Amino acid sequence: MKKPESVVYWLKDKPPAAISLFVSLQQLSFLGVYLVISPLFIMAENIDNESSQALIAMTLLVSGIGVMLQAAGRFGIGSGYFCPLQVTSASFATMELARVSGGLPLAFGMVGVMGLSQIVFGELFRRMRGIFSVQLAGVAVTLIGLGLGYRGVVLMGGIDAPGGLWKHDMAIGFLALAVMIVCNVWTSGSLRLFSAFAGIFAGFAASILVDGVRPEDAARFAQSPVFALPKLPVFGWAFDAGLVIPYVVLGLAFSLHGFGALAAAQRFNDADWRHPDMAQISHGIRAEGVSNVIAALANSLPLTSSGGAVSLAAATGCTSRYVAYWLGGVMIFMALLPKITLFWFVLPVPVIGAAAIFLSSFTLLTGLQMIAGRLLDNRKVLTVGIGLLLGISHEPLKHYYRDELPAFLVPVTQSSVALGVAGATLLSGLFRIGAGTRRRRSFVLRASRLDDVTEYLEQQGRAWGACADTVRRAEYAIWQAFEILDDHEFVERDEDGNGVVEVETVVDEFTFVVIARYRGASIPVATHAPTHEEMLESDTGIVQMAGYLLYKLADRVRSRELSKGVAEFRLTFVD
Amino acid sequence: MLDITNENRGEVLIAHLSGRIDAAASRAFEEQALAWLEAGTRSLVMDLASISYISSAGLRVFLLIAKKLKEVDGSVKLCALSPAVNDVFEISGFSRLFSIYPSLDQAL
Repeated sequence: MKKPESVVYWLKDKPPAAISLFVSLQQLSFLGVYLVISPLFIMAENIDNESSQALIAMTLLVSGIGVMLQAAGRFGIGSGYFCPLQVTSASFATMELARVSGGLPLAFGMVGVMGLSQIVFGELFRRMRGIFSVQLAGVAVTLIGLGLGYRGVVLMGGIDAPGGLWKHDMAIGFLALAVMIVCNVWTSGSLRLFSAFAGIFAGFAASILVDGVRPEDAARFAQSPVFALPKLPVFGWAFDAGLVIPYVVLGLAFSLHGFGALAAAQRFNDADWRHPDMAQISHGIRAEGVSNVIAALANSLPLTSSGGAVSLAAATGCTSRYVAYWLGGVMIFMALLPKITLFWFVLPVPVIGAAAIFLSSFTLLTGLQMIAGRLLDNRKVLTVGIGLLLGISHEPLKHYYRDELPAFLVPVTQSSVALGVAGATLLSGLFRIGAGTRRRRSFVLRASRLDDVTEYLEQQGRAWGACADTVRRAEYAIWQAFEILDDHEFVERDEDGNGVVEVETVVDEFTFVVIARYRGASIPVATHAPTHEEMLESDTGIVQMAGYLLYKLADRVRSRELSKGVAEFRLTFVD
Repeated sequence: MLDITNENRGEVLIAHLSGRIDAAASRAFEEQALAWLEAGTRSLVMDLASISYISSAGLRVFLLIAKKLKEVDGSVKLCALSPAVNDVFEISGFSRLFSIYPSLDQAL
């Protein structure tokens, strides 16, 4: 694990208290908007003002617990990363289904089933880690970026904004975006750490100074108490076996979304990132599941890992898990102060649109790099391509998916990430059929060219989805070995004077092993380079240098003589 | 296959190498390099931009050139190494023996 250059406070760094507090407020100012932008559900259900306040308070409370569980990573619950939870409108279709069937107690009670299913899905994902490849993580992160960007553009335009745009809202949105960009690109240190917060705060201040406060928000502010203990629970609980399948599918959708956000968190924290760590991701999805069980008990809206918040942490250079405890504490504190939560009602939605556009750029490019950093064969090209297309189809075809597909499938189609990753996961699993992990080919020394070996290994690398750099090292090492075998007579010749080497490749999700077998003597592997004199004075020095290059190019080397005059060398490359 | 062309810029001989420096090519490369030195070349710049592969036998020739030039107070510079070739120079420790430059212009 290597610290990325752009990160100031890394995963296990402990920022000073003041920095932690401001970073938490920055995160909260971004995440809190989902509480206000998303209450289409609250409005649709015509919940009274007091109940909606309680719902916001409980959701803040559970979010606070969730982000701390996620970062703590204790007892197999939580990934250990800073990966806050957020409300998403992707759950509203399923909750509406339950509300129509049995009222709000059923809609909220069944969230517990969803949470339990996530705990199971987390474990299932870990066992299926061969399917959850780097490409799948790349698809998820790319779709998180695209989704954020789309949401940002929609919000900047004030489309679907509750109450519509007011006075200079759009201009204020552009001002906020300009502040974020200036702080992020042309400054360093603390100002860069708070670039999103600076933009949001500038937008908020400009809105108050230029346009004032809407009368309805002023009335709401006047009515809200300064301090109020959250009520447990507001709506109650109910269970209906007939709704288990839709909520389990919703749990699957949230788990796939969580996979994307947690893979992004891993990628943003490691400059040398190569594979999703499915054990950590499994624990992270488990934490999300536990949080949603608590959400059901407390009657809060269901929560999913926030790719946007993870991107915000990366874009501003503070990915420290210790901030999670500050953020959790601030969220729980805010849950007790209803007046402060009105901040998000006053904040013009284009300001948050600006933040979403700002963050989407970082996330989108990270996702594309995760995909493009690998060699891809046709199976992987199709997995990535169709996964992305399905995800992108979410917005334009949202109504079609909702109205035309069987009801139990709808939850997966209500989030671009869940839809795209679900499609890519199915294809990834399907394409494993017939995709052998072992391949063999014989090469006649002297008659074979480097291009033959290169083509063979690159073909294996693409099927494996390997890093181009790893395959290049393998090609280099194997050709160096061929040269030594041929030039220094390690291989026995047949009656036609040909030396034959059989090359076998064995791949799994973490290693690329090249095994060469031939009749003859084993190549000596050297753990240290020959001296200059040894190199110049005899061929032994050249052989020793070749053995040393093999030792250094591969992550593991074994050279030995087997029975019946057969020798073997085995080069293992860890991807 | 290894192609070698050269040009003189003042006292400096610039060698442009392209292809692969494997065991077979190393013999021809060694002969050519020794011919330059015998002809009085004391300042050598080798442009490796088009070299895709170098084996231990190829490394030996570079070592030989460095040793011969050192004996006559000459100098050898390498430039424009591809990432793969650069890796081999790093791994073998040869990057410490030579002055290595990102481009031919910088080597000159």
